[in-house]
Amino acid sequence: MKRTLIMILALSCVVVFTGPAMAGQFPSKAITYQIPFGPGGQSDLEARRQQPLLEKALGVKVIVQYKPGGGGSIGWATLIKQKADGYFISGINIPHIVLQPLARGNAGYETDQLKPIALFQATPIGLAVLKDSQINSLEDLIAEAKKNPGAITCGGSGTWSGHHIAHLQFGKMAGIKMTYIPSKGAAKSVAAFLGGHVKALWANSNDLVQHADKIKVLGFGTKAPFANMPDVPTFESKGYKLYASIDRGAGAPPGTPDDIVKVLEKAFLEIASNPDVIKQMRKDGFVPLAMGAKASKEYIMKKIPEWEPVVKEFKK
Amino acid sequence: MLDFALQGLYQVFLPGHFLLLVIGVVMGIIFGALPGLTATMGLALLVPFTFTMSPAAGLIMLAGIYVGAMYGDAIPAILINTPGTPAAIATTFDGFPLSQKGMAQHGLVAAAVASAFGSLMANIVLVLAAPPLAIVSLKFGPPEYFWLGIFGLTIISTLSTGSVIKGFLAGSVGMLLSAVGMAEIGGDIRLTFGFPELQGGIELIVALIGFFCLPEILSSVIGKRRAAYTEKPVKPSLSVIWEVIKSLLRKPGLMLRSAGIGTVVGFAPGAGGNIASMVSYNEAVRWDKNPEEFGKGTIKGVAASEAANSAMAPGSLIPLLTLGIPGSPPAAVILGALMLHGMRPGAELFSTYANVTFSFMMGLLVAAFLVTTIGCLGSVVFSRIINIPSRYLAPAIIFMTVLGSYSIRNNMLDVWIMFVFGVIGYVSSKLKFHPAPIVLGLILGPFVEEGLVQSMLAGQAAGSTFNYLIFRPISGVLICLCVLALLWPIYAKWRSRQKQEIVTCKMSIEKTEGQNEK
Amino acid sequence: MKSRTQVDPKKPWNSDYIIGILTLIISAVVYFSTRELSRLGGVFVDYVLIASAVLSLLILLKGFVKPEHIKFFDSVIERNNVTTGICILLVYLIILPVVGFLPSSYAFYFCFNLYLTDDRFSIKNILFSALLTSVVVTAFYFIFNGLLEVPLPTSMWSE
Repeated sequence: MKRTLIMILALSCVVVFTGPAMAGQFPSKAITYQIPFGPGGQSDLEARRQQPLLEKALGVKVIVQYKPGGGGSIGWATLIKQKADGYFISGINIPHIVLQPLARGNAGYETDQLKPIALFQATPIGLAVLKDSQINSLEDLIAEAKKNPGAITCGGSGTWSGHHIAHLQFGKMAGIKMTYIPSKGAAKSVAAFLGGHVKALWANSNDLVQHADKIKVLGFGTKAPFANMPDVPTFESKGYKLYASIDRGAGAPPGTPDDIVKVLEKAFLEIASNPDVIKQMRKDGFVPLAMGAKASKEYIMKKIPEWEPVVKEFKK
Repeated sequence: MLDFALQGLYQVFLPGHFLLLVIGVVMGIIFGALPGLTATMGLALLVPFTFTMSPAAGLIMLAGIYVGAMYGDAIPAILINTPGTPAAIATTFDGFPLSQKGMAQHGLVAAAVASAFGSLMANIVLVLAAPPLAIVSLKFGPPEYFWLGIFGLTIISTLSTGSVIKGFLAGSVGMLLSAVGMAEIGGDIRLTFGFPELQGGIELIVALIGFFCLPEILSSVIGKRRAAYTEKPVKPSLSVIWEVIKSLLRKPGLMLRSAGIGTVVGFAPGAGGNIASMVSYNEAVRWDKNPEEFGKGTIKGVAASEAANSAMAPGSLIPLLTLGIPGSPPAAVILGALMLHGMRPGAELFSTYANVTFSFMMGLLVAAFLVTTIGCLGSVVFSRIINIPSRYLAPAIIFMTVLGSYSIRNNMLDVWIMFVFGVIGYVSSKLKFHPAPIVLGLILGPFVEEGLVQSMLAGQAAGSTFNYLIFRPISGVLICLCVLALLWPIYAKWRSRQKQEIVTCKMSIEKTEGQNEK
Repeated sequence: MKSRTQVDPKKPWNSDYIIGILTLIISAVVYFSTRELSRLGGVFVDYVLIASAVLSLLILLKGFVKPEHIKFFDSVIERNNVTTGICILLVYLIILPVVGFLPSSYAFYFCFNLYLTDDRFSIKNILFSALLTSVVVTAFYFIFNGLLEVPLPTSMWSE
């Protein structure tokens, strides 16, 4: 038995003491890029596209790691516990990181704990109906809703998500009552919509572009008309100040030194201004963004007071 | 279309592509076979490698992985009572008893052949009828999912060895377990008891390893100090392969029905292979002349389960390729791969990119044949694994399952959950109830809940939830199936009692005749 | 048909009672932890709770009328074996995040292998076990961590 103990001790010592990497210029070893969702989703896709470019820009290996659960909350709860040395970053999604702490009480993290590095993709949210629907415009929809309050069903992805908030905000602004029927994930909500199980759909721009031939889009939550569908009016142009989109970026644990964030920011912004990347994003129906760390932080912080009252009002 | 198919075949058999297909199949089998690693994970890890290849080459390799994994998961299911992926749960019901009887190789060959058959059938359907089937799949709305879930739960009555009440009770506990984490529609966080990691709910594979793998080790290897994992060692030989193939070919009804169920369940988006194999197993028991054989080790059970879960794979690709809606998690990863290569699902796939799409589909087809070959030949080697003395095998299994449980969500809590479920599974087997109904509840809970709550919301908007839930064509069919499924055991008992009476009558006639003769 | 009052001394436990009581406890715990949910979040839980409460009562009834008796362990040896086995597993899981994957797995495999061997303290077996441990565990570690880049628990002290 003694021999066993000595052997175990020896083995443990060897492993423990050969661990730490040598300190040096950042980055000097592999970086872990965590995706707070499962593989195959949009965040994953974007990360995979960025992976080779990041490796080239930073000169080190980038390991993509999945940590799904809670709509992203588990990944972000993990992020805030990591060492703030820049070797562990995570994808971040707005409005998720703002809405989850607001709506859940204890999501495992707070919005201001995530240190944004950059935002590189925006997916405007639009409201659509099927091509053969009687409704042809926002005005028709509102009239129909006023006639039969609660009868119009709108699909969307998730509860207390970007879609849900957009639905609540729009209902308040237009003074109508529509029923929100969430599905688990964008793909399922689109399936429900195409199958006729809901009358309208809050959807991400890339899904709307993909199924453009089967649907009519009534409006987009952007400031300027959506490039892929310039004829579709913005909510703002109809008098509803509704800005809804899902934005994707990258973030670091709280307390990460600014100079390290700068290195990462530069890499991400480089990719975001890469013409091939921009072309691919536009083709798929996304809006390329290139917001740096400071700009992203301001953007996120602005969203908190915008959405907080909506959550408070509708959360029973 | 035939020329596209031929072109696709040509692509598959190009030396470079074919090699990739073989590599893909082998990797798929490995990923499917290691509990904790899933087809989804395997695909996700290998998608980046496909960047550098041409779309056709990359997709052919992915096809190989997907098909390989659908067979691979049967290997641990048969050998160590642990489904390699949730799709293989039903394979353990007869697979493990088979290996207990020393017939592990029979099980492995049956799985290989049935997997290939299921794949083949489903692929043919995919190639011939994808677009119209996709439209049907869209008709599955919230009420249909609800009734599908309930129908799945009725399987519990077949799975309960012993009292049916215990089975349903276990099922409801399973459904309560599925409520842990974020509520499907309500968005509330439930039952996390202060552990933020539980927000994601209980990971299915972790529960599977806990309920199926550990109790076996605890009771026989540790408790009873059994030297080998099974009661009788396995003696593999090549003749067994042919024997099993022949006996399966003699059961076309079983094979076709199982493959059919798999394809259909596969294309209901989201249902996935997890239930396909169990529904198929259930039906196999229902329609067989000797249902008592099931559960004690018969290749029929393994074949039913494996044919269905392999048929699910092409089935889940139907809504994916035509509408971009993945029917299962691995399909979602494949969607990602398609998008990365710039190919968008829809009419485009079948026109502009037709040659790539057909290469992919032909890849699935050829992979099915590869799986049979590798599986059958490999069975000679694989089945010997359980001949390894348990004192070497069991620690290795445990440490691999720890590794597997951790790697799914990079969460130590999952490993603890696996351990706790292992102990619970052990206790429940002592209390004489099989953990399968708990797992079934865990899987089906989300379906039932999502269907229920969405139907409630939509029903309110439409006027009456009750009407909304019931008066729809597909729902109607499913409701009838549920009712039949619940009433069937009563009918089956009546029928077997009739049989018994006839037998005892015959016996007493023979006895009196014998007496008269004297 | 055994009369109700006759209890087989070799099988003292009534499994139906045990299951029934356990599930009632589980249902109660779930009930009390879910009272604050929103309507949509709670409706499913409520229905399932009703089902499990009813079924638990039915099982208790069955336990009264047509009980199924079991015994837990066939022998004291079995009970000790299982308890020791569970303890070894517990220790493994506890030291895993502390010491890291590799050392704790080495320790676990080694100990467990020896525990299951009949002739535990013979030099030959100890050495063989150590050898096997290092080969098997290291091989898997390299395949998973190195080749497949699947992340594994690292030690608290090293990084």
